[in-house]
Amino acid sequence: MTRLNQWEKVIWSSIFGIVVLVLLIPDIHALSLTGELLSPIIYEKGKVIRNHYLIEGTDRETNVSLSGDLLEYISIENLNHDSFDLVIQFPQVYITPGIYWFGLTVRELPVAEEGMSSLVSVSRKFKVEVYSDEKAVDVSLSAQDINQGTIVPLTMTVTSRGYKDINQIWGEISILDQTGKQIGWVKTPTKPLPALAAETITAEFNTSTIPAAEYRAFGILHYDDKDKKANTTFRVGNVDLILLNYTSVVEPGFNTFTMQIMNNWGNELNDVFGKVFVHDAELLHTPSIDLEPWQKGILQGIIKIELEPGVYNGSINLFFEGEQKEVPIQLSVLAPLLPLVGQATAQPSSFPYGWVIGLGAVIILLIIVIIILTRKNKSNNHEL
Amino acid sequence: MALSSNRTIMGLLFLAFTLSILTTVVTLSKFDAWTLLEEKVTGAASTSASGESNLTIVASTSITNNVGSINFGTGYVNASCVSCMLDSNGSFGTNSPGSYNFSCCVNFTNVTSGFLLENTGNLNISVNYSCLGSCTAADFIGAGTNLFQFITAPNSLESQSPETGQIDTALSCFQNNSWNTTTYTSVSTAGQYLCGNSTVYPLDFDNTRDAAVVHIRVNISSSTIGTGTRKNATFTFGALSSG
Repeated sequence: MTRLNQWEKVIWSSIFGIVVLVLLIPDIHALSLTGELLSPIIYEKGKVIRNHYLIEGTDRETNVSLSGDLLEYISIENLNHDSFDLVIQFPQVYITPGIYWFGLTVRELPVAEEGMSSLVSVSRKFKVEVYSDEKAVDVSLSAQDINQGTIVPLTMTVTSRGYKDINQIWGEISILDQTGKQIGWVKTPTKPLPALAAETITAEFNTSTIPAAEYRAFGILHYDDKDKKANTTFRVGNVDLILLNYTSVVEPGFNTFTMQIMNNWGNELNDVFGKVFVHDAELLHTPSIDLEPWQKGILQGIIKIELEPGVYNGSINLFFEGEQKEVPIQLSVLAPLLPLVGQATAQPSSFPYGWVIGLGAVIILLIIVIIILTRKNKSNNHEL
Repeated sequence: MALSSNRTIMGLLFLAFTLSILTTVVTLSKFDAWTLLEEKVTGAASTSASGESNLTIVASTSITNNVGSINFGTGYVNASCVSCMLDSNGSFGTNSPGSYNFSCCVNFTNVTSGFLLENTGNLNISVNYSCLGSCTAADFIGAGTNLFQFITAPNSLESQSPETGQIDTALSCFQNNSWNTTTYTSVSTAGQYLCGNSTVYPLDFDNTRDAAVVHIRVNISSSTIGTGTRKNATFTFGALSSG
């Protein structure tokens, strides 16, 4: 009897423990769709793509569905409760060029539940790019900022956006200055470009005969009997520091003075600092900074203005790599908007209060002396 | 007596062992660990004689709702009140401006957790919802001035648990609380995008900013006639990523 009771207790305790455990488990819904990324898909005639997906995280029944464009070429195969294959089989013909989208969704199926419950679904959205059946390309032109006297490579990147091979691509590139005047012309070598492939063609331009400045490269890509345009800009630099902006308006008293500068060289500039002069008086000597190639930077400090309101001619002297450059500036000193409280109380009064008070005190003193003397005289007269 | 004591100890040991096994199985199944071990890391660092190893990390679009249901229970509105408002954020009572009167909601359950959605994959996603069943106030509660609404808030503000990773410490959805429904919005059958849209996927998979709470609010007017029939509304929360 005792033995049976013990085992009964164990069994009932186990059941109780399991029930408590189950009640404490949170009601979690999860769903994962795992598989390689395909998007964007480049349409090719007769191309077949098979991608395997895993359905994970859920213990519920799920439904797999497709939506969107091109569904006649897309199907679900080998579907079971935790995996399937997405099969894309493009036809042996070209379809209208453009961008197409289709979606793949795995959704938990609802079960009869009362109250407010929830399900989860996961979807992937695919982009299909269909190119032209004709010869078509995307082209871009790029050029690096370089130092004066070196050679700038001008590179055309050409990507085929058509399903036909291109026999030859080549480019001609004009170099224009800031006024639009052509100062040079170069031609790239010729290359073939297979369908849907990408290729780069490069020409070189010598900058030894042109001044440091910004230039525009205007390119024309020729591909078989067609052409396409592209352009870019590049900078020919020298060992120079360019003053881009500065604080031009100040007020009497202390002001923060800022200079925005740019390294106009394709190498690092070290120990860069600036000085501000007005009427040959040095108002500011900034701390020094280092600048990376073509980098912009800020030189800054506090200046004390003890000038009357007005416009003053001055200069900013920039120092870099042992060199010095003077840039003329104009500095506008404004009148203070409000008088300072400290100054107002320190100002001497225009009314001579001190003199009035002193004079009054002397007069009162004289009156008192006169009264005392008058009374003494009277008392002396009475005694007589 | 000694025999009986030993049996008691054996029984307790058996109970502890059973609970331990069950807990392990249930926990692992909930956190998908079996699948992780079997399939998620494909190639599973398979080694060859030459010492090469392979590891392929595949893309996973995944969403977890850590609170699968909300149950306000069964009850009625106190006849002396205008209405009874139930909110999964713990607000409970009349919705008279600025005051909550617990006595207005008789026998209902005070729910303190909303649907806790979390991006548990390794791709950024957009999040949407749709509803099946009684998805309007008139259907779910009955005719009258009733409300059936929801609101979305980043879990870094709600601090609701359990999250699969860690509780968020940063704002989710564009990392700046750009959830589309940050004010109470009526539930609809068609639903809408909660974060992002069909082309923009701003809910990060980073564990510090991958979750949000969808709170449900129900307002029952005292004039609502109780039917005694329980209604159901099933929310489907969808995750969308690039394919």
